[in-house]
Amino acid sequence: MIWFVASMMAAFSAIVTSIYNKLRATVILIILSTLLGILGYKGGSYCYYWLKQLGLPMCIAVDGASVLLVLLSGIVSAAALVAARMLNEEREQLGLAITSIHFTMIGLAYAYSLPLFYIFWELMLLASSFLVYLWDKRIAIQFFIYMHAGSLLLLVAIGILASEKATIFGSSVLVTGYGLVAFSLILVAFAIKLGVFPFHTWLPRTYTSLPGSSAAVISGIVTSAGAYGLYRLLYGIKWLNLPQSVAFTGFWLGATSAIVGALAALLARRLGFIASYSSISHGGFMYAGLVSLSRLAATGALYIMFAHGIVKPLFFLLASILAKQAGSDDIRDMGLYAKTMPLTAFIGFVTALSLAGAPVFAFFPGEITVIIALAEAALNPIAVAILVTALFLAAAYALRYWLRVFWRPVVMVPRRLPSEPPRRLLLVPLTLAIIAIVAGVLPAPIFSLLGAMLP
Amino acid sequence: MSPADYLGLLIFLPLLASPLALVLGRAIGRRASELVALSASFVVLIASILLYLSSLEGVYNVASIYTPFIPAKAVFSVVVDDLSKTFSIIIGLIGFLVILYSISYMERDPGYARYYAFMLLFIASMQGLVLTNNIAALYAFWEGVGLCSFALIGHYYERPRAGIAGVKAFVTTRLGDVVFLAGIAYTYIHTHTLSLVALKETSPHVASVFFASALIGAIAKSAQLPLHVWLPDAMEGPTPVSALIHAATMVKAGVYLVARLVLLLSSLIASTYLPSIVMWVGAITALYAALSALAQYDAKRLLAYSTISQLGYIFTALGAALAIIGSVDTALGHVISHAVFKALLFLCVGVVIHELEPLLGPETARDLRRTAGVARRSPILVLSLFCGTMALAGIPPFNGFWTKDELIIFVSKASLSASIVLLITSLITAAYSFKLFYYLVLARPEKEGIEAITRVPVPMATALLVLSFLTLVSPILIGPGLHLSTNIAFMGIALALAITGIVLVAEAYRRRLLAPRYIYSMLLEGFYIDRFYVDYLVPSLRFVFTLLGIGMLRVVDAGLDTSIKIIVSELEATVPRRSGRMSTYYALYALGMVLLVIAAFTLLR
Amino acid sequence: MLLEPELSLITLTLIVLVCSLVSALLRSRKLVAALSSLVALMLTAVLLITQKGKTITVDGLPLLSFDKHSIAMLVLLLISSSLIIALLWREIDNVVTPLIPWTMYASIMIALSINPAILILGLELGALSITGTYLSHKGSEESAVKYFFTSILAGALIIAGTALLISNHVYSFTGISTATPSLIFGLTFLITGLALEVGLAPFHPWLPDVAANAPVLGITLAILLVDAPTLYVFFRLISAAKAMGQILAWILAILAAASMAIGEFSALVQTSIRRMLGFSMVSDAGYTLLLGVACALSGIVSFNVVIYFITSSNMALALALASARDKETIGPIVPALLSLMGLPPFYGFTAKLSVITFFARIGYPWMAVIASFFFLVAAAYVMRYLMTLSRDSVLKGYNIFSLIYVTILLLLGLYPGIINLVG
Repeated sequence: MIWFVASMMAAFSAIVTSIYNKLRATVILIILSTLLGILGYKGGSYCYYWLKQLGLPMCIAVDGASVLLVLLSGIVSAAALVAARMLNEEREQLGLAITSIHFTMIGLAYAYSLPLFYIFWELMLLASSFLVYLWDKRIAIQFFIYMHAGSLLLLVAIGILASEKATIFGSSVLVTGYGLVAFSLILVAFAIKLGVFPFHTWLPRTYTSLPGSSAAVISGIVTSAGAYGLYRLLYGIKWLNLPQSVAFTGFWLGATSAIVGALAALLARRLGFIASYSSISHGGFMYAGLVSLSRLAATGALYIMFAHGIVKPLFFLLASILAKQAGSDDIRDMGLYAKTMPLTAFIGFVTALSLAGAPVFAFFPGEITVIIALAEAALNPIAVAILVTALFLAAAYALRYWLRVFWRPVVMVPRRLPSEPPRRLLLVPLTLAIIAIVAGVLPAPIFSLLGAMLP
Repeated sequence: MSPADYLGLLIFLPLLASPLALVLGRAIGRRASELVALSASFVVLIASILLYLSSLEGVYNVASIYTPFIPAKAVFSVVVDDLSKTFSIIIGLIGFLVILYSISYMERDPGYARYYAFMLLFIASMQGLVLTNNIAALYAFWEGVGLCSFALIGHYYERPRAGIAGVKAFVTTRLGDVVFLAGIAYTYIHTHTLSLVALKETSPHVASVFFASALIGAIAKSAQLPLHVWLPDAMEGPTPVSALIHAATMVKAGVYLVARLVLLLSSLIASTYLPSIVMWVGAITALYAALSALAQYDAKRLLAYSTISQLGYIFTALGAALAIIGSVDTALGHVISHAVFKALLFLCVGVVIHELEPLLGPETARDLRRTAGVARRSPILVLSLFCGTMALAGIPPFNGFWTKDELIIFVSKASLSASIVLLITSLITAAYSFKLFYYLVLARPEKEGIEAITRVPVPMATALLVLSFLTLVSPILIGPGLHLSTNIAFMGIALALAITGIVLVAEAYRRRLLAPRYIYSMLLEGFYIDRFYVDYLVPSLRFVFTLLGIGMLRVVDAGLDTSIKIIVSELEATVPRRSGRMSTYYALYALGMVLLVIAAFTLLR
Repeated sequence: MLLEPELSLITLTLIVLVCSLVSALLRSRKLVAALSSLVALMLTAVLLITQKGKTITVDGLPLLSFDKHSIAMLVLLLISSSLIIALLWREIDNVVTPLIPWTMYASIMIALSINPAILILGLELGALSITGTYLSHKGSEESAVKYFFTSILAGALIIAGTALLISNHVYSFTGISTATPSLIFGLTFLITGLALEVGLAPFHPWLPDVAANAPVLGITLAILLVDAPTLYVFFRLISAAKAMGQILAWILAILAAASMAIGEFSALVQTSIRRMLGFSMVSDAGYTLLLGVACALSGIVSFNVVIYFITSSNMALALALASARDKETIGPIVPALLSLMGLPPFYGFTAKLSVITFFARIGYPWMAVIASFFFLVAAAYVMRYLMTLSRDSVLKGYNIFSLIYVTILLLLGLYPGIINLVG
């Protein structure tokens, strides 16, 4: 409990310092709050009963998945703030928006009962809409409304669960008629949040209307929250007697999304759209893994969440740098950049291989775990084959991106190639790239973290 | 030396030398990279020779103590037998010779660090591929050689054609890789073991599935029909690359895999349709590629098609071995011969390109019509070309003759018709081999102005001489050995066919005969298979992908947007936004009340 | 200081008379006038708290019942009204001030009534006071007239209905069992009248017009002191119908859904914020009706949930309308609308959470789904409006009273049980 309060206070101070535009203090406070949040690991749970007559408890507790989320949030917020300053992508209340998102994420990670979870969920939605609002008002409205629809469905599900007295993660729900309704609503709500086809409409618009650093926050943190939330709700509550058909539908949705997103990313021409469709694909992957209700697959999906939360912001920051150097974000205008910007090309290579799911890099442990878990769970082999195909398509679009931008000349006409961006701009992407490599090479700590989950 | 030592020297040494070559090359200079590469490949050669001569035989599990970052102790399982030893020595030998050659060839190239790094990585992966017993590791090395191939094909990345060729190679082999991986996954699920030799004990059904998937992977990797289209384009890479990877080693990876599986699984799957598939894919590819080679004027493309054709021979032999549950020695013999003489031919052509490219440009330096007679003044080149082309044609006493004949005889035991196809192909093979020799040595240049090559640099010359020597003696030194076949008559027929081919071509050139236009263009384009892929297949796939990908996403988006727009516009049209009249309201109230009363009455009664 | 209930009633009336006289006489001094209204409100609140649990009966007929839920709601509404008056004290006009205590009196009558006669008394009194308030401004005569005519019709219907009920010897809202034709007519008239009063579809068109054009002080007080208690009574009436059959429940549910739909969707396309909020009131009536139907069908009546809902939405509406009057004072509209939309940590969130949980708990999750859909539409237009505000205006217009109001909204959001403490 004490860690929770301390962490929240540090995050709140970060909000305050961001209002006064003190970047260094803000970043330090963000890192501090992350560390404090992580220290609360295995600190037990603490409940307070709110609205007694409705039976809605507010509990906090921390387990492995929470730690992962806090870590991710801290890394991405700090990186985005620093990058925004370096890339000149700031608006007046950008710091406020990002630190608020971080603040709500810590609360979300700590929330161990449904009402508290929902409160921080809505607050996070508000904060992220504010971030989008800073850049494009019209898209912000669409974003908010679409997300809020999902939240309201989640609210109904919470209501049903509350009536079954299953509000703290760790209870069991006998899936009667209404429990099934709650489950379906949860599936839809998080499909919206993760951008799973066909609830993906908000994703490409929102990601492409933001500049790199803000898009990094939304894709790295907000979408990860979706995976985390789905994990909490599906595994924190024991759903008994669940008919297979519902889980199957969810699984097929995820698999379809993985393929469709990957195909679209393969054909997209603008960097922002490649990233968006790639997120749709990975969202589908995570969704399929989580919905299968197998613990191993869930572990893999959470690993993918972490990897996605590191690599997608990396991609966006790099895209921002590339767009700045090249003058446009259409990859048809790019080519042969490796010649003049080798360091950027290397970072891009790490990004591309990570997205491709190559073994030494971030996505591989998670993706392979999901596939193995699903194969063992004896689901329809065609569905597993579809996920594997999605994996190959991911390799395809990732490599195509890298080759097109950095390797192959488009036409043999001498063009002026952009020069290497100043080294300091590359500092943040490089850090993220190193984290991506570390996450791929040393999966053990994260896996042990996820394995020791509270029931 | 223990298996662990061999493992270290053959695989890990070049693996570690690769980044070393890159870094030192960037930091210090060209000579550093060359030194690292040369020494590493030399050590690999010596180690492979020692392995070949040693008495190690069987499966060895080498436990590694140097395993940072991997949670469990990694156990490397290696299989050492004639097949792997032979391949290992080929890789070591050709690898070393090609790197020696590259020192001259790449002396002007600015991307040397990258080049040597990838070459070393390739050697490491290839050695790993032929030595490992672990299916997952085999697949990893399989991918590794594919990656190196792609990187090296696209070495001249500033040329668009090189990039496109690299991607084409990558995508085509990827298709095979995916199927192979699926087969591996399927087998693993059924057998729960990753050991290659343990496949002997699986059920015939699983064995068939695994073999079929591995076959498709091999077809892609070894450029057989219908996945052969990448190899001719892969000639955009530097010639040493073509020699090492696309003639001697990587394309033989598929051969190795199939050979290994033939050894393990032949008793299980001999009765299925698989052997015939292997044989006929090989045979038809051999004929097809030989015909296409005949029409080529690009020296490297000619040799590429030739490689495809010769690999077809080998595959046919493997299929035969599978069908009759025989040994793969015949195929292995021809593998060795082919590696030697094809590498030799590529290196010769490489000398020509190296000397003429600064003058003529990359495209023209490969055009035989432009470079006619350019090799006639260099004794080394003439000798090497003679040895290489005669070996390819199958003229004694060169190695090609012995091994090819044995192969055809072996095939005839399984399928007479396939062997007849191969015989016909031999005629054509001899024809195009002579074409190459004719153009480079015997022909007179069309215009004056291109000087004949007189001096060949020492590293190149060394490699050429060694290989020329080997074309004479390789059957004795390496491999299953020379079995003088008892079927003298058969050998006579084969020889006669080869000589016929040569004579026909010689006559055609003397009399300046030209083939009809349409036949010529059909052969030139490889029966338009590649054209079909590029112009029809890929665009239609792209269309399908677009439909499935962006199409589906956009449909949902459009649906959502349109429906919202319709709702909002309908509402804006109907909903009043200004104050209305009281009388209207009263009418509405009256109506509502009447309805309520009616409802109340009908229900509460 | 515990008075007998009858005595307390008399005291109440006296307070009202005195305060209205004071403000009528001292019409030149706005501050005094405002203060006297505030005093009236405060004293009434205190009085009510002391009378918890009692009932006023005359000749065995129960008239007023000081039950704890009604008192809790009333106290909250009175506090909110005081804050609104304090917020809008510059708008206090000479004519309006004397009517405020009477409006308050009317609200007490409505909320605490058991007998339909008392209800009628309260409604008529409220109608008169509010109409008078509306008439005080130039330009809002139209809305005054509309409101008045609507109230007359509503009153007439209620009177007719009550008369028919009394003729069937039904004297209170609890326990209506038999079904003779005159009783049916009576109930229908009663319900129609109340529906007209609260703005349920299809009796709603007057509400947005009035909300858009009425003077701010008048409309806010109407919302808090007349509309809220009327909604509460409407709920009690519907939920008490224990013999409600499935089909009747369906019809009422459809009516409620129609209200919600018309209210929220019409608000979606409005350009004027006040009209938008007026339509929001229409949908509130729908939500309340749905709650009532749910309670009647399941037999579980939860006054807490409905009180949370009514008070939260009406308080938010009042603050929003009060802030929307001028560009300089628009600041507090942001928390008000966020609460109306149902975002944590505001009161509106707790209220909507309770509503949805309640629907789920009593076994009607589909009602929860429908309600949440319309919550979404509400969120849509609220967000759209909020995004059109410019950044500087968001911070203007805060004074101590609006801050207290917002704090109350936050406090109740965190711990709505405070209401029960009071009640």
